[in-house]
Amino acid sequence: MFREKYIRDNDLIKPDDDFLKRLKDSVVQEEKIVHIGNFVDYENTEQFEQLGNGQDVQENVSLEQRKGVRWQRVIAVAACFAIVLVAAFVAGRDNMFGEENIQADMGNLVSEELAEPDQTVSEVDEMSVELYSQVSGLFENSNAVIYEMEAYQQGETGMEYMQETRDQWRKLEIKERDEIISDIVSDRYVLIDIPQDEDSITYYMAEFENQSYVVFGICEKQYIYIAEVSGMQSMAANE
Amino acid sequence: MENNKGFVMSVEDAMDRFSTDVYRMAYARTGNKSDAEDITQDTFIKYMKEQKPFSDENHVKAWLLRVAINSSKNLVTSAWHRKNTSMDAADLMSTMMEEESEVYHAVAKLPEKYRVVVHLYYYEGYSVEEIAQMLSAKDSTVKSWMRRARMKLKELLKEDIDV
Repeated sequence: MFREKYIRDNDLIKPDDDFLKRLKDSVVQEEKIVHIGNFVDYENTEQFEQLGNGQDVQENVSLEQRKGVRWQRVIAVAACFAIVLVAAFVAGRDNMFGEENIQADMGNLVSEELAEPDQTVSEVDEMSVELYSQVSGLFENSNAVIYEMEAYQQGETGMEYMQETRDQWRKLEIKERDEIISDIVSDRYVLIDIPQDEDSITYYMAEFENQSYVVFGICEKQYIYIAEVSGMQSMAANE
Repeated sequence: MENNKGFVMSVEDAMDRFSTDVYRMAYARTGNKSDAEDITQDTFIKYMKEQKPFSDENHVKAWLLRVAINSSKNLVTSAWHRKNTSMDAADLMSTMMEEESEVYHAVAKLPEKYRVVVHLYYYEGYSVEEIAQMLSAKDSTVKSWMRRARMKLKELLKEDIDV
């Protein structure tokens, strides 16, 4: 029985005693830092040492000294504020003349949105393909992999394949995307992966000659999540 | 300990009671001893800082496991981490057992997400609904992950996987 074997194997995995001891020590130490707060040891301050008998820290400071200290604080705060303003101005000026944030469109699937400024298109492709090749082996029998394998056989990367057929791709509206996500578990689709933050994915869909549809999503720069859709009559009818 | 605000468990008690469970969850996810230790430590520090009341001990455990899963998610999705760490589950198992476990090996080969649900379902004994809640996913999504995990395990182990 799988369950029994898996339980047996996991029971053998235990943290080291040394680690557990260090864990307790570190958590307890962290607890002290969090709970002690901003306690100030006045015994070690200069002012405390200069006090005479019966005097309080505040009493030992003259009015002129207090006014002086107050102005010093005002000047210090103003200086910090000025530094922040200058930094914000400089940063804002750089953005005006820096790279534009180009929206990914059907004519340029690998856009600045996907690539780091110093990365070439081919480097982005390689990262995407590397990830895809890591997970594609799980679905040898799936149509999504067959699609990609066909592209590989032609000597193309996944992104090149999609770029060549980019005229067939259209960006899905949010409602369509939600419908696809809700149907993912009905086995009409084969999904490689989907992150928790579904809103961060931009989905594209294309129809191919054999009447099947392929959907893919671009989430982070290095990831591609792919699903194949078959039998999308309801969506085709709405187009 | 219960009070008007719910069930409260000190961090020391929580560590005594659940540190091994948290470690095993982190290890199942990362396959790496040092990462598992880091995640375990982070989890209990978060627990100490959270100081929230729970409904019962099981609630505490579920919260800890969820934090461990989310902590390990942040770790394993780092591109640098993916390239610079490797699953050493096989090495660990071979040192801890006289016979290598093909079951643990097979689970270690699954994608991270499937390893998590397999561990929560088969080892921790959570239901699909409970797992969905812990992972902030739909029940149907977890069922799908379980189904695909079983398919892959069946392929690797050449045997049916009990439901």
